[in-house]
Amino acid sequence: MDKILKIENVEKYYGNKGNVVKAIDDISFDVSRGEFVGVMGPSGSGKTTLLNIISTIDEVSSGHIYIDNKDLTEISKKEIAKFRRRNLGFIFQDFNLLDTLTIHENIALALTINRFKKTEINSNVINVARELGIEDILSKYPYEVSGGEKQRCACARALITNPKIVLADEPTGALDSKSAQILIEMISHLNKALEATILMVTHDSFTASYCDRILFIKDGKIFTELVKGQNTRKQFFNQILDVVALLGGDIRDVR
Amino acid sequence: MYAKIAINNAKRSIKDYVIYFVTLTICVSLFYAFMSLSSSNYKLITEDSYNFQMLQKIMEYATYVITALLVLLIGYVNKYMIKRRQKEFATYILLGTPQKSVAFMFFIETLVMGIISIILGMFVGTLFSQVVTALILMTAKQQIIFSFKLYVDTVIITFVFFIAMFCIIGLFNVRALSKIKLMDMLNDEKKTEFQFKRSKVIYIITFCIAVLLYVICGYCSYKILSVEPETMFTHSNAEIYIGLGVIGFIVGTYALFYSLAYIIIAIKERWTKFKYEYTNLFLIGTIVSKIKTAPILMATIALTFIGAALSFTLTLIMAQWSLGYLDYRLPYDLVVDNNYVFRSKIQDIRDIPKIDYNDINEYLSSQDYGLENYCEIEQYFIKDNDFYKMKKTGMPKPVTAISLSDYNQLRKMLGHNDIKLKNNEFTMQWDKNIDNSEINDYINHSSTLNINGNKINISSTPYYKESIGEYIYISDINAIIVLPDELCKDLTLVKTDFYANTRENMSYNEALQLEEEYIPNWFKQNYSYIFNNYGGSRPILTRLKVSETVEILNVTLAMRILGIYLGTVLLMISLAVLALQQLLDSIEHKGRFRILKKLGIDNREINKLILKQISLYFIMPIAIAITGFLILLNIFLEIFSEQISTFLGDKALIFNIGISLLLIIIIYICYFAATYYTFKRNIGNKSSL
Repeated sequence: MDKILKIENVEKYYGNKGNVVKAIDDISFDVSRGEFVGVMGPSGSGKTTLLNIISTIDEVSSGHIYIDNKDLTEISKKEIAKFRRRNLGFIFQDFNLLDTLTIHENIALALTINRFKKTEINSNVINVARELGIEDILSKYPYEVSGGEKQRCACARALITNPKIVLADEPTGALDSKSAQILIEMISHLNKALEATILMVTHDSFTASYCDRILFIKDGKIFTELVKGQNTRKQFFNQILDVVALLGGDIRDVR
Repeated sequence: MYAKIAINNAKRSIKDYVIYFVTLTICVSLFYAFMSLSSSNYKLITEDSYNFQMLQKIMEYATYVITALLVLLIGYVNKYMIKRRQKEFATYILLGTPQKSVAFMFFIETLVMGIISIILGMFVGTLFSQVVTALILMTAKQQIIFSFKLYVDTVIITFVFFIAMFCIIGLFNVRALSKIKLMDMLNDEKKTEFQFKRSKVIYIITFCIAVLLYVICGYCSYKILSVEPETMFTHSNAEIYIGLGVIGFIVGTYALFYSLAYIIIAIKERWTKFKYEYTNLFLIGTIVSKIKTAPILMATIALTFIGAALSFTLTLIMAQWSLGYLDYRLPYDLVVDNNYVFRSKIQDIRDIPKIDYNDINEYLSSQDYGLENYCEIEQYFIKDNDFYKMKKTGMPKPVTAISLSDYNQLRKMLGHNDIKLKNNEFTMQWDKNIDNSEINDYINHSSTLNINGNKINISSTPYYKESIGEYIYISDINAIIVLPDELCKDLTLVKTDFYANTRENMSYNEALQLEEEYIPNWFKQNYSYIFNNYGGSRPILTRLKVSETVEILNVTLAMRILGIYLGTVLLMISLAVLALQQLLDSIEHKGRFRILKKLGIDNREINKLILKQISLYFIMPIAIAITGFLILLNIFLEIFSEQISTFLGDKALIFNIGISLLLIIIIYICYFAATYYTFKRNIGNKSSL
């Protein structure tokens, strides 16, 4: 399998001279095409920083990041927005939908920004919406639908451009457990059906148990790595819980 | 403690509401500038022949009224501030502050902002008052002298007026704020305002009504234009058309904005090509949501804008017009007009007095200013029967006649050449304004006259139109017949008038004394029998160029200044509301643009998008306003085209319209630029993500 994302010795420092905080301390890993990778770790471990760096929102202090063999650290500032919209898809904890647009338009926006063929946009949106089970609410506005539906809309928006990699930042974080389960099952399904590569940061062991592989980060370093392999989801879940307990997670992370 | 929070909040508010604050300050300064004109300490240094007391009075009252319009702006902004900050207020209440105190704190906060703007406004106002003074002195053709003074009484008036305004609005706010439930305050963020409240059919019907009303408005203006200008105001239908047109436009504008959002969405749905062009989707969404939430406000802004534009242009045109009109109406320094036929109860034609103006003549010669030339003009009835026609109300007033020698004398006074008439001929003098075709029409119908049995024909030069003053015409058609002297001897006198030019200009006080004391007294003394028998409120009318000039100058100046003032205030209010509507939502906008950035739009594109969004938002109500304004202006110019070309001239017209447009554009651009840069700052689009 070819590597879609390759991270080599990435470091990220915050602060000024004399008071430097290492948010990410020499991390290296890679993600293959079609893989569903989770990133877990306690608060302040550097998960979000890592995601920000990969999503080109933040810059590395040292090291290299390759997406489809293109070095992110070498891309000029001008090109970065273009690169981002062509290659990356985002799902955020707080949905980030535009409240002035309908669900349909929110999804279509991702395509128009990429200057997609106008005649194909409608059919594309409807196809993705059907895949995610939101075709009935397409004409509604975000404030008219539930949180789970909003997040599915956000997923549709992230996936519709066929990005090389989808970056999900705690996608279930703002949802109730029922909606969260529906959503993560859907993401997992999309990962298999569309062969979408997904990198997901999460706090929640249950959500994480749907991943193929999980990276545990602590204090800016990779603490350990769990691979699902032939395990059932339940077995994998229990393994995750063990590591979380080892990491210093608390009872909240056990479901 | 609460006071401290309030003051800190005020400081922060000034930053957030900088456009509102600046608008307020400018309005205060304009108020101060105009008020200082009527200050008792204010002295306008002018020559004796000018007097601006009337102007000061007009300005004082008009300024109060115009400035009171600011209540709308202040009220709107305060309402918005409350809405924006409900969550913050809720936090105070949750921490244990009584709701009353929170409301009061908000009041203090707005008051602090208000007081700062008043103080700043007064300093700027001192500068403005110099500009206004310069404007007045320029109109009176005087030398401009600057004096920077603070007028204590004006300062007090300004303070009291504005503080009262803030307090009234503030008290309403306090009441409203102490009544809101805590729960509602906390939940205010969850909004449902983007929804359409009514069904699809209603929006479509409203839109159709709007189109229909605009069509009616267009039809009315077409009708008005097709009416002959002369019969304009006697023609009762014209008034109906004007009323219908104006109401149609106003209601149509409201209906249009009410349904506009729906129509845009409907169009957008059909027009996929445009909808899916890059960021258009985002742009349409933002604009539509704004129209949807505040259609009435947008329509009001559009109408206010028309009001401002009209007030700018029309007052400038009218002022110029009345100045031009003065020269035409009163080409002599002095006219004494005595018209006993219809200004008294005289019933018998033999009682009409013949007035001898010798005394006045001598009096004027003995004064410092001296007498250059003068003329006594006698007017006659063509037929004695005309007297009774003239006494009857509602009947058209018949044409009167003057003798050739009197007529030539008048022409000489004004520098025109003499005319000649054969013994069996007559000619006519017509008002400059009357259309030639109308004159020809009249003359064709009555080319011969019968004077006491003598039949005479119209001369080969049938009429003259050089201005000889407006007061000579008695008849409704604004014309007078000129007869050979011989024929006049046997005619019955209508009245005797006195026309004179002085050698030097008399001062305003001398003119006033002449007009109100000397001439009335002289008349009462010498013609006491007429005065006692027939009374009449003003037995004799004196018109002096000096005093009329002063009055006209006063009025035109007041018109000009007030027009600009009203226009500026209206314009600033509407633009400030437009700007604030964009800026105050910057929290939401910030979120939206952040999402766009995450979706991969770079900063340059975002700046473009901001520019597009604000332009569209600023242009929409203004586009409708401009259309309405152009139609109105066109109708106005069309109807009064003759008067305008006579009294104003095309150059002055273009100049005046140009000035007003320039002012509007400058103010507009200032607000636009300020909104754009503040918006960008609020979005925080300087650093990359």
